Amino acid sequence: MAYSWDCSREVHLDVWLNTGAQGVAPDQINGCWRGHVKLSLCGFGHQEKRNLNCTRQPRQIAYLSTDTKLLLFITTGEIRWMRLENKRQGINFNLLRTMFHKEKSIQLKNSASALYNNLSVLRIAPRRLTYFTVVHANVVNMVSTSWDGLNYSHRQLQSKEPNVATSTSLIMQAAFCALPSRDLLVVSSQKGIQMYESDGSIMVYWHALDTPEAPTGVSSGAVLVFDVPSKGSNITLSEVLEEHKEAITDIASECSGSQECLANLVTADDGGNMCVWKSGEEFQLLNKIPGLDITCSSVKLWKGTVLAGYGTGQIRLYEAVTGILHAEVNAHARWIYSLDVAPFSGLLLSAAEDSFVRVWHLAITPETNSVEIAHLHNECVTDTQICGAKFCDGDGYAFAVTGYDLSEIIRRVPASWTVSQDT
Amino acid sequence: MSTRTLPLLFINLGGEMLYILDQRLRAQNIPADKAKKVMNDIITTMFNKKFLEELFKPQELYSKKALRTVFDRLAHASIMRLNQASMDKLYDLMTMAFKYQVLLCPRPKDILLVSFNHMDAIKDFVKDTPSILSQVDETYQQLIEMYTPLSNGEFQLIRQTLLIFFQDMHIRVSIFLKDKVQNSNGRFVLPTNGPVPRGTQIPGLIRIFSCSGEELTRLQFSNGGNYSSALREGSFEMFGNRVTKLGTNMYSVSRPVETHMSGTSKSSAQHTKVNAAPNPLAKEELNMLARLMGGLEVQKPGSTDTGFRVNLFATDEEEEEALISRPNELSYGVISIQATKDQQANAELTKIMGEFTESGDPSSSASSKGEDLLALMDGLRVKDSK
Repeated sequence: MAYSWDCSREVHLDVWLNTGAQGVAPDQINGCWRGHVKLSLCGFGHQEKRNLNCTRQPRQIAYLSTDTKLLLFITTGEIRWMRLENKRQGINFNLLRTMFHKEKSIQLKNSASALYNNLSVLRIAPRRLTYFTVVHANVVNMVSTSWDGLNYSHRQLQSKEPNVATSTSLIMQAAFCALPSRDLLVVSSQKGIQMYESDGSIMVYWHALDTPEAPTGVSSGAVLVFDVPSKGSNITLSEVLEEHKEAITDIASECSGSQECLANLVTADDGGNMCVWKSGEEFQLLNKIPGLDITCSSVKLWKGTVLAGYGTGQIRLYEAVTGILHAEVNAHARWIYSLDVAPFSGLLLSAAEDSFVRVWHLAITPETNSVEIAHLHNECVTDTQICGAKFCDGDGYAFAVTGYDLSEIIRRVPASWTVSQDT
Repeated sequence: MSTRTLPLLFINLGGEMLYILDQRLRAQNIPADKAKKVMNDIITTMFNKKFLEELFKPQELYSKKALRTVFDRLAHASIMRLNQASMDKLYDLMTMAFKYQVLLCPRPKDILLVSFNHMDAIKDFVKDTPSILSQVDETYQQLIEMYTPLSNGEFQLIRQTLLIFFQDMHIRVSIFLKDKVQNSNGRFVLPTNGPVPRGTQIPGLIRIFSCSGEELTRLQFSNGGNYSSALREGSFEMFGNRVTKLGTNMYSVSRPVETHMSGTSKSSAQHTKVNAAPNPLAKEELNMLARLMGGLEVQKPGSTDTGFRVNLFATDEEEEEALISRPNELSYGVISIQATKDQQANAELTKIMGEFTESGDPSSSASSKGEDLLALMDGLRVKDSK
């Protein structure tokens, strides 16, 4: 059996697996699928070969990033990453293990509060830094970490008080927004919305929310659209979208750079209802996906598919524009708090109050309307109700997790492991 | 966050307080009639109509300090006295117990079932006293009216608000450590086994559908835990089986109440500074306490021979030791005010006091939280005139 993939004109990758004598049964000594991975440089006649031992059946080669030289190779219930390295005589590569290995945790000044999607990550490639934000009551903890793991710097942002005499204002969410021309940190609290430069150094905008003395204390479900210039603080409120009747829990967007992408924004609310929009001078409502009275706490949009996490622990995949249900997963035993998707590789991360973080693989082909979701990995953070989980990069190679009452950001990366040379 | 959190916080903490006091009264062999009087007095004060009216108004949660003051007053609503150390310990136990219950609730809505468990037990404490019983019944009605229409999302918001209130509290409780529901670092054990909540399926199934809605494939995955199907639904009415054991009385004479202070110094480094920071609301707090003073009945401790002291520790020496060795970060910072002395000392306070009537009637529009409630509570203090 061979799996091959032409990932680019230069590199052609084949994964060969031994089959048994009759060419049917796999070689299963010690329950392993044996084989080897062969990498060839087309046009150069050069090949590299590595032995491969999988405890699960290989399914597909999912993704290769020519940027980061990472290759994602999926078996039934496992992830395998390979890192390709250019050597003088050709290409070298190492097989990385499935088990995620604990990278050093990042200590925080306070613990994380139990809020949906309570972790935001921004990668600043030119400066080789990553920013993390975690909310604690009325404070946003920001940590900036260098990629070599040597430098950490902390900053705390407090929610702005329009009126000092009133009670301290609790923050609902802090999130990085990567806009085409700049990155912003948006912090929303009961009193209003603050926008900062991505390093948290300057607040560039403040929008006060009317706080009625009404007894409900639940937000109205309005979605505010802001016009952000590429520099400076001349941010204005351009539109208010009023389709939801219940409090908004999460918003997701997808760059409309991809060809067939019609929808590029989805908003979700406390009743599980979702609205799909198309951005423009005025936002256009494309579709409404009704909920079943269960909160949708986290939502993502990828390749025209809505990925939604619910209070019942289910994940559902809907086609954004039509609302067709593609898949339903009984994913967690408690309320889901966070979903994240790695846009380049199609890996999905889900985290819930049940202490589990799960990694899934999505295969979506908008053209043929086919959707597949496969479970790859479980990670249990003992005795912790997880409130935030994010991939640290677009490939989904490493991820970070926060939990209620935990004063650290837990990180996982696939462990490095050199395979023996082929004979 | 949610403005409907305070009633649940108050009732559940009050319930835990009653469980603990009941156990201590029996352990210290306080005569049955005195013990009953204490329990009745406290429950009467807790469920006073005017007090509850104020409590059930939509409002932000109190600060930890303010809430602790409310419970201080509640605990002293009768002839029983508690020293500072015992009161601290009582409050630690109450809060850690409720934190545990909130965390372990399978669904956010189950917090209401926990509240009903407390209410059921309180009702049992006063079953022989019809007047108090009717107060308790009315409170059931208010709870049902206010909370049963709420959606799951709104309950989750209430739960999140409560979790922010309990953030960073990791006091170790002996009974929890023994039962292995709390680790030695003070964090609660969250099991990855047992029944799933109602409305949730056991994790493990992936279903793929065609465009027309028919199921194309089913895939199984291993969930890493050991889950079983949900238990039946508990009753959200005045009577009925609540099903959950959270919120029921876990103490008995043979299971003493203890906390460990020594192990907490490490975790207190992360102790929330939110409420301990120099308080721009200090003026606010002072106003609230000043109103309290207005309604304060100056009690003459020890003047009646029916008064007695309850100790949350095994011996008086232990109690004294606990007071001395309590880490600073864990002090609740309750301000005790001696009305007669300070009257002369502080002109502003005197002026405020003069504005209030004897009964401490909170007539002005209260913008600071807790004023009305505390003033009411003081006005209700059971005047023991035996």
